[in-house]
Amino acid sequence: MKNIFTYEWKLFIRNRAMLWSWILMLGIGLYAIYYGWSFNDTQLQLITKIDTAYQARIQTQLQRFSADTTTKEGKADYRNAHDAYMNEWYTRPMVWKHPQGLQALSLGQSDNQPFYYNLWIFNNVYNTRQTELRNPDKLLAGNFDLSFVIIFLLPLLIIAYSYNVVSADREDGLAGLLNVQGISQRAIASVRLLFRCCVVLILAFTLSIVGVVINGVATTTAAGWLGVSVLYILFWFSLVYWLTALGKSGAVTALKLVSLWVVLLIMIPSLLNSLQKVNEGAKMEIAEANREYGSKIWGMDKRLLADTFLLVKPEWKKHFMLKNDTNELRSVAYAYFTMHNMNRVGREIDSVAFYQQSHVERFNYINPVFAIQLLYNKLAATELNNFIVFREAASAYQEQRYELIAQRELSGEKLTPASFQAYPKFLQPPTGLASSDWLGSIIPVMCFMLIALVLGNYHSKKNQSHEK
Amino acid sequence: MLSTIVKNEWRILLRSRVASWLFGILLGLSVFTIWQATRKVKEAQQYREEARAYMRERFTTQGEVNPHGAAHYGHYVFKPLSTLSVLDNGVNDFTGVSLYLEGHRQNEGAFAPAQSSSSLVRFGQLTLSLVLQVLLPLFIIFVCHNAITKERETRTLAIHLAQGIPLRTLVWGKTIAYAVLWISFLTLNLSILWLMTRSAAEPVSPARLSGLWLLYAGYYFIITALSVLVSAASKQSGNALLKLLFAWLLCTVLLPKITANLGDNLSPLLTRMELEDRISEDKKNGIDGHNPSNERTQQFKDSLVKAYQVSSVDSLPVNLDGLLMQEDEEYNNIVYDRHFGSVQHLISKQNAATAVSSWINPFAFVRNLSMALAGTDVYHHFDFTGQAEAYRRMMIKTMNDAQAYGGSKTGDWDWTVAADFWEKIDDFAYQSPSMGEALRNNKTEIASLLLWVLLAVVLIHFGSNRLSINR
Repeated sequence: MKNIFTYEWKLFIRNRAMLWSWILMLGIGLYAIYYGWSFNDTQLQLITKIDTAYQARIQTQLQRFSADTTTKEGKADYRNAHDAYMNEWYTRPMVWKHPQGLQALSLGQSDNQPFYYNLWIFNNVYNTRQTELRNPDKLLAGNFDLSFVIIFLLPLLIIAYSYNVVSADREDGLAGLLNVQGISQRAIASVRLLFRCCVVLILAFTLSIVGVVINGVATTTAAGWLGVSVLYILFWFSLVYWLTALGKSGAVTALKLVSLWVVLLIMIPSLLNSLQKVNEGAKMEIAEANREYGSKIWGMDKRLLADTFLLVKPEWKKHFMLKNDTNELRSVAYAYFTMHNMNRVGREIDSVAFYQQSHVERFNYINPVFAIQLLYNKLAATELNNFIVFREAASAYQEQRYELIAQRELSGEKLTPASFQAYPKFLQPPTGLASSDWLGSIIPVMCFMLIALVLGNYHSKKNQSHEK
Repeated sequence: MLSTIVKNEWRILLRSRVASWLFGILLGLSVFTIWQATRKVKEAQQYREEARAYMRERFTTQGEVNPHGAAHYGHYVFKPLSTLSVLDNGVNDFTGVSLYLEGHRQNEGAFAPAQSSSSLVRFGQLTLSLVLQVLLPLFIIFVCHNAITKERETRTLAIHLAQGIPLRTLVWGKTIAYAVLWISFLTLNLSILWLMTRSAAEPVSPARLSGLWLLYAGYYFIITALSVLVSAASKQSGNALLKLLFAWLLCTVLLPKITANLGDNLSPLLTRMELEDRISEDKKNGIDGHNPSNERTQQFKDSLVKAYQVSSVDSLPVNLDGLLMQEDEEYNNIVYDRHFGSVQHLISKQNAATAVSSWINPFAFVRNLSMALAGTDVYHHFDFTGQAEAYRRMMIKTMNDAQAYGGSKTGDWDWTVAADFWEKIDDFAYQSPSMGEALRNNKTEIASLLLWVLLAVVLIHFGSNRLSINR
């Protein structure tokens, strides 16, 4: 085994095509890491801008609590700071999905989803205009991140390195010589495959470690990423093992492997994607909820609106301002009804999207490549479900703030600097993979691997007995 | 002689069971994609038509309401789905389905389907365009890689030449034989598409369908010619296959992503925040219809008092609010045109990287031209948003004019128009650009298509005979 490894090492160093393709792939991988890092960096810069502006608004409001009331502007500032509703308008609370370091390596749907929201009570996260400007052509072409390099390009390197591990000796006329010496061709091919697997694993590890270090990824997440990468590389080597064991010529094996690449990476995912049911009307319900429901509530008789409001919020009856027909009441009730109605419709739509994602995941048994992409994205918190969870958390936070503001508005209780500063803070929703996520992706890939290894072993033994 | 070579190639191909099977699978796949996409497109067209009719009804039955209140209530318009998206869905998944038209602001398309999808959407859809642009070329490579090497390996090439068949004729014969097959496959697919979509809401344009036929026919000629030439220039079939497969991967998988990302790096788009900041900064200098203390508003009022030769705005014979709202609109239109125009310009600059890559990558021109001819590229989306914006301006102006000159007094926000007022505003009807207009943004791609065809012809005609027989 040691001899074969040494021979393989010398071959790798001397074979320009092998060495340069490894170096080329390293270069492509480094570019992909840079691309992902620059995407993350742009998002982080934007978040810093948003946060800076938001903190400045909070400070301005805090200063307004002690504004000089001898001037007209000072009086207005003082009034607006102590009025919970106006204070919220001037503060315009912002929340954002903080990009994880690993997002740079697997961008997933992060370029296609809003990642920050303005939670002013008349805005709604389910009907936002705050999607970043994107070029549809660029979205169609996709991102050149490290997950793309590993998922799409590494298998091609594996095919290029390994398609002839069995046939090379036969085609070079060495097979007979090895047979005479009593050396098992099966053993040589296996060790050769192992060496080439190590070469690809070193490349994947190098790139992953560079990516992980540059983007400051947590150790456990990084370990998960490396584990998934190893699994995927082994998955492809198991397929190579099977197809090379069939004993066909190098060209035929290469053809079969490339065909398998086309089937696994292009045909199956695109077929399953085109079979997805797209309900264009679902999101129109949000727009309608905003416009029709909103105008209906706004147009309601104020007394009737108050009575309806008290039916859903009987505990607020104590607030004296409810007794009068006030504009505050209309605003508070309008915000309540529209917010809850939109959130209800939006959450229903998101739950359908969530269901569709889990439906897609059920096909992992025939779509192993997507199973790996899912694991990468979920580790990086860039899959659709991560954005749905963030949206849900943002809307829950908005409802929480609304409750505090509305109660003060209706009771006429003035906002104080202490109570303003004691407003709840937005907490990033937890990320990470549940064991069902891991199993749902790993088991299908392992099944493929097992089948390929069993078939490979069978054919390899069969061919060996023929040779004997 | 040429026809004999062509017929002989067809005969060999028909006898090859692997090629026949692969061809059958590809045909089955393409028919499936047409059937599947037709079903989806018809459903989407029906939904959009129903939604359009519903929104129109909501608009026309608003009743007696204040026109400016109605401008805030707004109106929804829907992007009609081109029937040729059965062939090429283009960027449809990433652009909005509808547009909300309202007073004071210009919106962008909303509700892109890809936003409700998992990342599976990034693997693309199995559409006819994928079969025609990516899978069929792969099949062409599999079939044509040994077109000449096979003759060389079996030593029949020397016999052909000894019999007086020039290598050029052999290469031409094989290229024509194969290209005719792929073009027949294309014709069959486009005929099936035409038959299946006859009952679609929008009939397929014969000009665009013919354009697509020409485009793909040219594409297949180029790929076939290059495959046969690579085969002629290779010693062994395996070498030719590996070279061609590498080129296929480079052109269809790597280069499109690299050029799109390069375009993004070279001409980065503004962030949404930057754009909104710039728009609101520019808007500050204009008239705010809802803010009477605004400086420009005051100037406008003074100019009206002067023009109507009255002592104050209260004596104006028209409703000042309506005029102010329209003036606000006119100013905002300039602001939005400037900023949205610059965003579209940046997107066009980004896409120029892909367009330029078509000089070295045939897949780039076929992809862009196919989307343009199918009416699913980003420029068709811009065309739709442009026409919808023109409609919004007309609609809001009609409402503001009613407020200004309809007989109401300044400050009378309870004044309403008659219930039949809304019927007088025409419905929005999107007019798809002509084929010439649709291709206006793809001059580079058209030029590179012609150049590639010319290059293939020149290489076969002048290069074939220079190739060595034995290599």
